[in-house]
Amino acid sequence: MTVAVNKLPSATSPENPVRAALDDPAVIDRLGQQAHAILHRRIDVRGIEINDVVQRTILRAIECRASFDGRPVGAWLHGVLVNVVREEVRAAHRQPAQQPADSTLWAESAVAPPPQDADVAAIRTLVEQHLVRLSPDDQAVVRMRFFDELSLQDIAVKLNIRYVAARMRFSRALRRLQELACTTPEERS
Amino acid sequence: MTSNDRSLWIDFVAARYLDAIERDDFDAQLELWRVAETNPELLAAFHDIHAGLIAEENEAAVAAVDAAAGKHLLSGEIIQPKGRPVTVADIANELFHHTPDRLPAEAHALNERLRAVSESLPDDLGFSRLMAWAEARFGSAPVGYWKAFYAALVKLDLRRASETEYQLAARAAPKSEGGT
Repeated sequence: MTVAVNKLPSATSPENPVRAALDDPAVIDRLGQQAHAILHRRIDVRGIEINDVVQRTILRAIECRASFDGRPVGAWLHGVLVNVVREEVRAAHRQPAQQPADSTLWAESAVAPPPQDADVAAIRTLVEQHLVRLSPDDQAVVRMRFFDELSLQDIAVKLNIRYVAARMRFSRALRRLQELACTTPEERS
Repeated sequence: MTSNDRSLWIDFVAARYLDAIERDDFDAQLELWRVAETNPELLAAFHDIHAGLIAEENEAAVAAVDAAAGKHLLSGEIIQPKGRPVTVADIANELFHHTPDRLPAEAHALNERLRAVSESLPDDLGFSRLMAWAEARFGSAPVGYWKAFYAALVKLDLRRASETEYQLAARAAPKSEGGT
């Protein structure tokens, strides 16, 4: 997908990584994909244009670049886009919009918390306890990934599907496992 | 953490990201993007999720057209692309369109369920092994259903083989050196 955005005055330099990233068409394209992925199924925000979201993200990033601390800029821009979408959705719901000067929320985007590793052992337990309750298609992909230790690429080849489709199938199967783990036996029956 | 555990962790966090998008949980999305800042593999996995959601949207649009054609053009059949392996759903759809006589209700119920199964069939199974394979995966059904299932598989295999032969026969012959 190619997202058309108005070019901003260029100031590409190593000292200005935010502007350098915003001058990269691949970065803009990925922001457009993210906006599309978040917004495409929301019937309540049909009026929001993907190009507008990307454009606002660029403006926000430039406004906030002073607080940017030099981390990899790609993921930071995606975080800025999440905040832009949040504002757009609030506005579409006619709720009081977050003020542009809400420095707390925007400042949070520029501060990375310590990563929290998911407990792989806990995921294995989840799989062992609830696997048989999944549909045959979901069971097959989870078995291949956990027990046969096939990569998603190998699973894609085996199922004759594309790599991203294998990732989506595995992701949804994990989600259903977690839903099963959260239901009571009465709810299951 | 082993390399496989690390790779599983990436897949698990990517699944959490998909969940956060589908639940419109912006706080969770923001938190996960912060985790991805220091992890290029995770960043790539999140981009895969975007690509996957967009691809699903496109596939849903195509499926809606297929469904409308199936609903309003009752005599029509959707011809699937050539070169793709036969799936359980292909066979169940064939049985749906050309249903054998005297199948019991539970066989119809199972067939309806199998129309959604996209798994490919193992190669070169005879009837007995096919029935064992299918019952292990999808539950038991009357033998008559599995016979019809096997017959439909053979029919689809033959149809695809003949399409392949036709394509080979229809290729332009290479020109001889003499130009004749």
